[in-house]
Amino acid sequence: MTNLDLPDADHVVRYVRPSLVRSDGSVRGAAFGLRNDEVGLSVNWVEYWSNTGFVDPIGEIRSRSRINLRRNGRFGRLNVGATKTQVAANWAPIRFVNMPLEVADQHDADPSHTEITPLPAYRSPEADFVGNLIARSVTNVIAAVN
Amino acid sequence: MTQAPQAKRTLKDRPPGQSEANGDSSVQPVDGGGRVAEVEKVYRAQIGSLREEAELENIAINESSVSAFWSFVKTATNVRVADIFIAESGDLSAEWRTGPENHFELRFLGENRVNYVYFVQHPGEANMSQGYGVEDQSRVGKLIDALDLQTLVCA
Repeated sequence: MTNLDLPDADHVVRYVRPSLVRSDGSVRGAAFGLRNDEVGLSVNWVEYWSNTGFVDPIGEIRSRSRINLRRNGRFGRLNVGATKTQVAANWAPIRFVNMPLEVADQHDADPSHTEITPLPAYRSPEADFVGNLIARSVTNVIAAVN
Repeated sequence: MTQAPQAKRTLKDRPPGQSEANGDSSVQPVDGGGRVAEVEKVYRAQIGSLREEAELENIAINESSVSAFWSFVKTATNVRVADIFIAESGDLSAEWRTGPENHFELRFLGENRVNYVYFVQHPGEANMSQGYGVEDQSRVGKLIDALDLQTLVCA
């Protein structure tokens, strides 16, 4: 566990399942809400891979994903600094904290795994609002499956 | 040339049989009367697709939420057709949106409660109006009036 705060200039991606991508390609706020058992929102640090010599960061993130990426799913890409600014200005400060995942079962290690924290409680109206603030910071979407 | 001021619409004051098009494919008007059945058919198909996706994603749909949504559809007959989706919790949400600055969202929690979120840039106002809260489902009409969201939500 590094607990490193990501640099503001860097980027993360989060997997967005198909129905949370609108027909115009934008991402719904519900893609950025915690599940009942989560304390941080899982994302992947793109520059971790590019800074360590990997030529295809998104390919690495795809191959190490522990969730079932679906053909019509997307990765929503966020700039760390812009997202922090957007959420702090309208709600409260948040952090992007690197939390590497170790090898588990058939999964490779994922040193790019990062969590956005703190976020409002599961199912609260505040969570719906903050999810939309984060969604408004998505700069582009990328196919989750090649 | 002057125009007569137009009265604000509310959830229940729409004359049956009247429709209007606004040119935005994401927000479709709903007539009262016969078109209600057509709208219900559209929602039934969408909910069917959402159920399939929820199964693939191991999301247990909150059936109280779906029932609450149907109750809303049947009582608020002059509301534009919303985009609907299932949240991670299994709740059904409805979204009326023409862009990032014209967005209203309801999450049906069941037991007559809804979460709401809005982001609206009203004409002539410098700052965007935004907020969130929880409300009795039976008071959604009053909420829409209070937030001045009739143009976005009501047909």
